[in-house]
Amino acid sequence: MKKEVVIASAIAGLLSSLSAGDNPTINIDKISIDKAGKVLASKDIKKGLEVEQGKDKFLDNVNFYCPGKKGNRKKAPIQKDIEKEAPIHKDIEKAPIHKDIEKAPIHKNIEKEAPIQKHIDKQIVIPKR
Amino acid sequence: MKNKTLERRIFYALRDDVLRLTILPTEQCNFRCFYCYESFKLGKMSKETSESILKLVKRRASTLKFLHINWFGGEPLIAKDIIISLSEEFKELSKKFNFKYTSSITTNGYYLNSNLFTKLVTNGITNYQITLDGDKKIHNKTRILSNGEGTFNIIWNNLISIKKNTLKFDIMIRIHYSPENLKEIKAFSKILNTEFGKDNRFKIFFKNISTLGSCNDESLSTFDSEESNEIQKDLNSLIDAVDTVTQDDYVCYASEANTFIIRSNGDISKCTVALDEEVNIIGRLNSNGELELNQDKCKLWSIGLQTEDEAHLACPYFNLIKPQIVDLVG
Repeated sequence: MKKEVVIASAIAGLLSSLSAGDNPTINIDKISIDKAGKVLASKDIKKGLEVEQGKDKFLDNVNFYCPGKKGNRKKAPIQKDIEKEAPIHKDIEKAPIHKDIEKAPIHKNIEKEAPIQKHIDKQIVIPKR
Repeated sequence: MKNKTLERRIFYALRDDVLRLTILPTEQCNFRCFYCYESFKLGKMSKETSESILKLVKRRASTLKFLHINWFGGEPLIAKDIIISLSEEFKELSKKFNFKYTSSITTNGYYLNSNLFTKLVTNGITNYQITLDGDKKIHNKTRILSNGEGTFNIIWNNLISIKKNTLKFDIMIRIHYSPENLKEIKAFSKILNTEFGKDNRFKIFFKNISTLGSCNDESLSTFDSEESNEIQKDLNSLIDAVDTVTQDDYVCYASEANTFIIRSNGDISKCTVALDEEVNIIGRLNSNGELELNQDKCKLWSIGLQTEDEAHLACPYFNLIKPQIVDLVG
């Protein structure tokens, strides 16, 4: 099974198990995010949201706190050239909008470098069953 | 809903006129902190990607009431040119389209000299998080440069010189405590209080060191959460200006539907800890400023908004997603 399939089935299973609540105030299935990062919610959710308008002071609270727990990570390499540019994700070339970007010289050897994708391939364990 | 504060946090996380972006202008760092979980695989953001961020915000500008930009890394100030240039643009857009623009930065403080600080504040970056691990002796054991040198003196001197600045800003000095440095932290707290306790632009936030995926996790000495809460209360009592904003009803930015992380390579994520996890790459910022998003992944990170489960909201990754993935893939 490909890693994408493993992740996708984990997401699907989790979403279905958590979306089965009785008349939830917010139904996550009725929410989507558009191409500009705008939250598109159904009318009944928006009705609830309108109640909270006008209390913008609340937005001033910015949280940085992260309560995380255990995980495993390989030792970070000491990077000599901290100004080097980030490699671009492999999938970018699949998107039609990027067709003519490929012509740009900067993209020619970037794919070879894409370390984050290589790392993911190693990190996700594919089940044998 | 459990209480009004949590209810409001949930609703704000769904507002369509709010956009919060955490931008990683570089994922490289000049520090190699002992407990750091980052892998530093990606470098500085390209010009193309930073231009795409600007296009994204321009696309939304006319419908926004609130834009918050948080700069993160790596050490974001390594890429200060990107930060300054984009911040100037965001500030102009907020004037033109009349939306509220606020900005924050999580920095190690090493490059934050007085001139740069003034430039950042005047471009709207008024909220800072800077971490110390104790006094010079303790701090220089754990928060070191990549060549192993200590960093305390430079950060401390930067903080002192920032204090002389008359501008309006908020600096949260995050102090890490662990069983190994607690005694020294108590002594250091008194120095902190003398230096910054009377200036209401500074707040002290005590945080226990936790295992977030560093290669040194196994050798990290940490308090359990009950012990940690008691210690935090004790330490807070030593300080006049304690940061308590983050203590209750916490909703992580990863849970918020209107919050995104833009990685230095243009990938879109939700969590700043699970940086190398596939489940955390929820999409891609295209060159025209459009987000190409996986809706299922977006919903997964925001599921706490529906369940109202405080653990899901506080940390969807460690309390929900990671255990499920581990169960499935073994």
